[in-house]
Amino acid sequence: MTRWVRAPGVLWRETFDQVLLLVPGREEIVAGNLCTAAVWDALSDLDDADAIARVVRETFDIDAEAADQDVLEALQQLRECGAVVSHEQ
Amino acid sequence: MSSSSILWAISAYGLPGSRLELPTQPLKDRAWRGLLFELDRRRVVGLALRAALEGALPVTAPQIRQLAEAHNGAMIWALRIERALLQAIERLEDVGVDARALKGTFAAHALYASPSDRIFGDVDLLVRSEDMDLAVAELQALGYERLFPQLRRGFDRRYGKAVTLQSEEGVQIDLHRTFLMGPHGLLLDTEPLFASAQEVTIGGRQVKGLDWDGQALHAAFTVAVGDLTPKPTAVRDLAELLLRRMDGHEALLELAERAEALALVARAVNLTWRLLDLADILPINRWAQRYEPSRRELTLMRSYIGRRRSYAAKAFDSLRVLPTTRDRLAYLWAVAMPDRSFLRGQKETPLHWLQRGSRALVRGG
Repeated sequence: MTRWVRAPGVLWRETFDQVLLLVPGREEIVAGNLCTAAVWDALSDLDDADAIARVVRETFDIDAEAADQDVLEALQQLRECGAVVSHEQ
Repeated sequence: MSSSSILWAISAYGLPGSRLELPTQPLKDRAWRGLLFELDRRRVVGLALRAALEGALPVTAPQIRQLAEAHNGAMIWALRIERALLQAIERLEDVGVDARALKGTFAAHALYASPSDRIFGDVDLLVRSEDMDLAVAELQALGYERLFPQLRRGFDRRYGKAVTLQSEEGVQIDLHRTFLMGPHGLLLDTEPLFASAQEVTIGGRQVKGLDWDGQALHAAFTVAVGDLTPKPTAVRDLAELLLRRMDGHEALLELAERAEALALVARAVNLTWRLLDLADILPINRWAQRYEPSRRELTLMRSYIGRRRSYAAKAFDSLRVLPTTRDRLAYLWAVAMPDRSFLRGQKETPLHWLQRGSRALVRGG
């Protein structure tokens, strides 16, 4: 099972419709959409994509399939920019 | 409603006990543009956005979009500032310099529902006087440059308020030795402020700030005399602090008394209650309403507020509070006859500098 956690040292802010992230060692600020913002928020106490998807589903009132897909995309985007790390357990 | 009254109502938004009211209808475009400019300039777009999102500040769709854009810009800058703060603290810690984060960078995390509510524009750090020179050198080694040379060698460490340094990307760090320039900065013994700390987590790292009393004293100095018109952010910070502690302000008043700053604290508390129209009566604002400044306190405040407010007046009044003749002579020498490097930075000649200072003193009366 894949566990997802926020990478250490990431600075972030919530705005009107985004989350802004500044990852250590990188110059550019990454802007994530509303779904990414919800995922980032959920990562403060969850590390499992299914549990995060449930939160996103409830937040945006979307069906399970769409939530799973959106959450996975958001987690991958966050991992690519270095804001999140994943490990198998 | 005037732009100013809306600005203060937004500055008080969410604060328990404020009787200020927000408009009931979206502003017309021209009035909105003026307000948005002020919200951005006075750094209250965070609270404005919160008020709009919670339905307390009526806005049109284009208006909320503009507000969100202004807030986004402020947040991008806030992240760069926080990165600079963490780098600076780490560097200073590595060489044994104990630093305390001050003002916006700390208050955003310590006092507000969300750090996105509190806008700030630079890093403010307090270090001990004896660490000033080392701290400046370490930040210079990180790539920061001083905006101005010091008046004379040793001036920053002995008498200065703060040294401002700037990075290539434009981030400024104000490295404070004390809270204010002039007599009240010199009268403040900052050593007790390092005896304890409050901590916040920024980017997963613990950052030390002043404890409650230290934060309240600093906010009070800033509100009372930091600017001719108090900054809404500083007023809100002070209100947040005071309303969190309904009583038990003795330690704050003791700190203020030792710094001969009771009049400053009383003025700050009264200004905060008036500007935010706070209904709650706390022991500290009852005390502030009744406080009568002494003649000496009024004299010391003159160089900060009112007609005599000037750099020269602060320098002159500093002489009243320096403890020894040696200190007074060294201070006077530095202020009257600065190093040539300082004058070059100010585009001044020694003679013109002296003439300008004398004129300012005479003008002030």
